[in-house]
Amino acid sequence: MNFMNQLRMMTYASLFVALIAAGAFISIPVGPVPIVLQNMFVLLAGLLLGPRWGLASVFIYLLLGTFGLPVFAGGTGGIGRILGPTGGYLIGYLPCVYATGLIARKNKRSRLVDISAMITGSVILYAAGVPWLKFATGMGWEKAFMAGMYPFLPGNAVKIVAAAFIAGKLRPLMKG
Amino acid sequence: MTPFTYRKGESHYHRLDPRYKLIMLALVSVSVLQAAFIPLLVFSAALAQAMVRVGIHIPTALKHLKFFFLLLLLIFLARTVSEQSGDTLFKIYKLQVTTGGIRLGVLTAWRFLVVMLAGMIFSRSTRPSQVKSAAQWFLKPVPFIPEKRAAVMIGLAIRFLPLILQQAEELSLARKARGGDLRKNPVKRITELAVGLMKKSFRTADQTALAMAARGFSEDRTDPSFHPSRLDAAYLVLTGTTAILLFVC
Amino acid sequence: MVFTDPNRLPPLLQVEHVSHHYPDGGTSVSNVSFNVCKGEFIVLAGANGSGKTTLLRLLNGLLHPSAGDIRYRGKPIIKNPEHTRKHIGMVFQDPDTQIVGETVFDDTAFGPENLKLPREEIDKTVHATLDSLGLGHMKDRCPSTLSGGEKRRLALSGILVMHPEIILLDEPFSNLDYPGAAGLLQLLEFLNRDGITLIAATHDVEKIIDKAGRMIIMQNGTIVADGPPSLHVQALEQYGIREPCASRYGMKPADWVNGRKRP
Repeated sequence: MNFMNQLRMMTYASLFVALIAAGAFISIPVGPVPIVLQNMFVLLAGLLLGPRWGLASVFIYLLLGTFGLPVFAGGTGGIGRILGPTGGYLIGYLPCVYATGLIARKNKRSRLVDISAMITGSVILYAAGVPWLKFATGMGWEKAFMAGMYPFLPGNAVKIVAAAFIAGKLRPLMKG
Repeated sequence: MTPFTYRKGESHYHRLDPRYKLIMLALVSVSVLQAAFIPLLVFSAALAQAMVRVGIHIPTALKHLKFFFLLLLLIFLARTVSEQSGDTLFKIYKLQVTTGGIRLGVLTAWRFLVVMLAGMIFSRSTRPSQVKSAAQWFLKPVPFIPEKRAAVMIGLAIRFLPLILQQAEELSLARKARGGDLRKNPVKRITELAVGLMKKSFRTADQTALAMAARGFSEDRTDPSFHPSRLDAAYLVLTGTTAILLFVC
Repeated sequence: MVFTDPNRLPPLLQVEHVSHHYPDGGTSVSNVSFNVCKGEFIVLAGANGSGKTTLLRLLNGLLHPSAGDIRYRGKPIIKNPEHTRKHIGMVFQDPDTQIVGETVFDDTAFGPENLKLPREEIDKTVHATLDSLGLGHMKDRCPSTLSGGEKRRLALSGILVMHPEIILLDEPFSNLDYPGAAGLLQLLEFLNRDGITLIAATHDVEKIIDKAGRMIIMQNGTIVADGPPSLHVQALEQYGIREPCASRYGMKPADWVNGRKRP
């Protein structure tokens, strides 16, 4: 039943659009800094949906945000966020999810592969986000890294480890 | 419910064709990011009036944007210290703060705020289903993107979002009730919440896919229809002129 | 099957020796046969896990039988799924999963849009359907803000707009309060009188038994009884289904809405 599988993947991808959007609102307090789950859902979209459907869900997410629906962090939206100083992290979700999905799909399934796929995805995300931040604000490289990368690394590591467990638990539930 | 959420209304903005509105939003966004001080001031006044017209309570809206203001502060600070012109106001260590710097900092932050507020007017006055239809229309000429599928996905995502937020709330309450918050390991906490949330929503998605099949889902479906009026043309010309003025003045 | 009586209409739906097994060995249906004639109102009774839902999904072509044959108007349904789904509608247990539109109007328009009907025709038929169900005044509402009963009516409207011949209902009364259930019941009765064939799967027989002309009882994936409700009502409890109160006290099943006995 090819039609049904296609339909199911489309529904899952739409679900991930909603999860990524909801991820901007769901935060878990860890110590003094709340961890926002958004980029974890992007990584999971890569792992669970694969490169193509993962890309589709991130694309739709960005489209909704660009059109002004309040799906970006802090319940905001609009083209202003894409063009703004943190826009690189949003656009960067596209190559991030694709790379994560591709690495996870092309290699034998294991937790180690999942984790390396997500690390690669995260590196790509910062590679898009930090330079964008630098040029949009006119700050120096050192400050851009200080403001746009270093503080998030511990949280990111936690999320990658958690996502590896989550993917392991959810894969058997996905039909098709 | 945020100031960005659609609410019924009778304003002109509510009645405009969503495609025109998106074009207008893009025109405004691009030109505002180039605008100088005085034109931006004038435009902001017009925008504030438009916000009132579509039924946005401005103080509530600004309160909702408090995290965004942090971002704006960052932009302001970065611009302020990187621009060196005009009189030097004061010096901290190696950083020199000048009048020109402050001026540029305020201007940049303000531009982003205006773009954000314009987006708020759009999403406040446009039905999600209209956003979906307009998206399909704009994606049609884009190669490699099946616009009808994209439109269906937008519709589904908009439908799933409130369900997920509601489930997340229930789950975190359920976890608190069982003393789950006492556990300190963040990996476990995230895993527990996300697995609970996703398990439930995957089941919903499965059911939805099944129900769509049962209702005869086909990707080759009736296109949305639009009914642009003279009001749309008038607003487009007005916005286009404003955008040009913001650009050149 | 040969029809010797020329005045008798051929059955609408023929189910012949149908079995279904899930790959993971879950609930399944084994060797089920029955016919459904036009205009029937059938209660498909059974405890949870008896195979009711699977059977409904087989009837609407969502699942394919592992063995056996299901024919709608003489044609195997798996050969022509689009045709089947247009004429055999299904109301899911949880209306939230079935509603896919962002507004009441959009949701009802989903089916006709799938058929690629012209926009004007869709507008007309959707309005007519919503009005006939008393949903016309809430056409711009977001479905998530509707009450349980309204959601169920919306789910039905999304099906009725396709003018189906058969409607399958999976646990139609779950999560409905009394007015919601009573309203739904009256609606079903009305639809049935209008000529639509209804098959309602439920473990809550009491509400519906008075309206139905036939009851099929399932247990462990097989049909254990099939006939007029009054004939089998007392056997319900042995199959793990609650027997209606009235019948337990030796009375005829009462009209659940009005509390009166059927004339």
